[in-house]
Amino acid sequence: MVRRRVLAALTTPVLLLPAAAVLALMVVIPLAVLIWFSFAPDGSDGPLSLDSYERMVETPLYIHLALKTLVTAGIAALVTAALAWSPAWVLSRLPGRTRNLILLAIIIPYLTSYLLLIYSIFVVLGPGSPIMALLRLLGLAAPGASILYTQPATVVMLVYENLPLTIFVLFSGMQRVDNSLLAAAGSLGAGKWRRMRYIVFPLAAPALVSALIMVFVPMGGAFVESAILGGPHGLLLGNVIADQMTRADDPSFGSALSILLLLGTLVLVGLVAGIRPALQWLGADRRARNAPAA
Amino acid sequence: MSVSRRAVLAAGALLALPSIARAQSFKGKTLTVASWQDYGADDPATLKMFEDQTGATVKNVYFTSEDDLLEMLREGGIGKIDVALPNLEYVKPGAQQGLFAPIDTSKITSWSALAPRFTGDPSIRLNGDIYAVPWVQGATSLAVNPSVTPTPNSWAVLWDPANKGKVAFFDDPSTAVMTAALYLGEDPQNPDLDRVRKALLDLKANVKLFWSSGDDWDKAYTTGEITMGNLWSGLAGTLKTNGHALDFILPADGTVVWGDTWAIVKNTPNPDLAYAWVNFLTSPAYFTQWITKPGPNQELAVPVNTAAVKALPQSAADARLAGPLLDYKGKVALQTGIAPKDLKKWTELWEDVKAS
Repeated sequence: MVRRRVLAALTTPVLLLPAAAVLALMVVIPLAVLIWFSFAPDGSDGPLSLDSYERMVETPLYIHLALKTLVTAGIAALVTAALAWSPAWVLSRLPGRTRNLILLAIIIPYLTSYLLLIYSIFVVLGPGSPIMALLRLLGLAAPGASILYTQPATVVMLVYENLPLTIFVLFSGMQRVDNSLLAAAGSLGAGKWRRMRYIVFPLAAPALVSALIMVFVPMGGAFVESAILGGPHGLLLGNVIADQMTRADDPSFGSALSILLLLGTLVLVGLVAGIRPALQWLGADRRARNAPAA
Repeated sequence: MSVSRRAVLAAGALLALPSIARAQSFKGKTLTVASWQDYGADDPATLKMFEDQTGATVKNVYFTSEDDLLEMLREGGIGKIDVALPNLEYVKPGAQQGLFAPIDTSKITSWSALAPRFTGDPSIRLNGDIYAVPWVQGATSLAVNPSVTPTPNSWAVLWDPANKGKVAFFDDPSTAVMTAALYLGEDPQNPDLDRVRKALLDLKANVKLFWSSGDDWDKAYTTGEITMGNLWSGLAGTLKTNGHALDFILPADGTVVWGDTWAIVKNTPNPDLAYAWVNFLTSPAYFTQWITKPGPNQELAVPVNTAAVKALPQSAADARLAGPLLDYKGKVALQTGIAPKDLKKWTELWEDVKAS
């Protein structure tokens, strides 16, 4: 009896062991190395100092670039979610077979190498492309103009890359919205918008938050997209970090910048993840206050 | 009569003797060559020429960066590797670290034919000795679309507000700083960095693309996104050969030139064979063989040996703009001679400009 209880008590830790080992090897150790590098500007066996952090705050340059990077990633994530919302909703209401076919079509770009996607977008956004020809016809673009080598080109690419994933995450959240709820709301006179706002949105909100975080984090660290499409004025912090690690041969400064990016990302993710609990708490508070009056 | 004929024959045999003796003396020996992959020193046809001439076998070892080469030599390469291919910039650091052997230039057959801008440069010298034989060079100079008129003769065209959004610029700290210094009329090896920083920030307002590969440049140029910029002479030649209209200009205010060299590694097991290699690799026969047969990276190579340039077929010389580079009498900013601590400052400056 006792032995069985001991075994049962041990099962959970034993089962968690591989995950813990992977976490230690792949997350904790590299992160510790990163922090150590950032304090060792003269190489890993040199004395520790704050030089890299001093250089980072010496000019407002790098803080600005970090903010610009986070804002760019934030905009790209919000645009992605906005674009993904209605296809995800439509998919969640479709019958099985049609839905699976469409899901398959959506997943194709996600299975393609992102470098290939970048170069195909490069052609699509170029001055000779059909899209630019259409914009020229409509008088929206000057002849020979394109958005290549600009910040918007990077945003377009980030959205394109992350759209399939976002649709999937939203779709799986929306699938759980029961049609009978919508029918009930409809019978009480709620229109399409009200049902979307007061039933679908709150029920899909957790999926929306996960989707936003899932795409925002890699977008914040993106550098290949901006290196190829962004032009000199569209570079992101990721580009500077990549340069420090390779050509500039200054892993310490690169690590310090990575930590800046990591902290910025954590703060923003914390804010986004905190919105719902905060709103719920506020709502509960209001209901509690309203209760005696009712 | 017969005596004199015999004497002539004997003299002929005597003259031929050294080369025969050399071929036999290297038989069974192996020369270890450290170089970039696919960059002339491992071209099969030319290797065969060398092996036929000397009887020796060549073993290639590759490095992936100049620092990698120096490390390779420090960590056990000395005594095993015979010759190495450092960039001009890395000759002096290598010599200072005791990795290269001094070169007896009287044993270098092509020495007097090498372009004096290289053989006279202090960066291949240390304490009165010479440590490298300059091999190939290239310019990173001004390239413009012929539609840009009048044809510019100064770097100032890249700074002209009229060309906003039309400029491509090489993403490399030392090229960037040196080009800005030439534009400002500063000493390219030792410019006023505050002025350079300001000039590069001004330039950035015009730049559409910081390029790092020939492919970046080609894509933007052939689609009309850019009409000018700085460009490697070899890539400019390739674009022209492929039928694209392009003017490659060595401007009056000066141009930036890089060079690769051959160094003999300290304590080489085969010093005579090492000299034979360097002599072969800098010879007109070698360059004609390597450059005129299709192969990787040979578009970058302009021989430093002026006799080798003259021996090239005209089309091959034109394709790499070898003639203009050879004849250029203007100011040359050689990419070398920058102390590591200065280079670090230049790199930081360039990163700041890019991050701005």
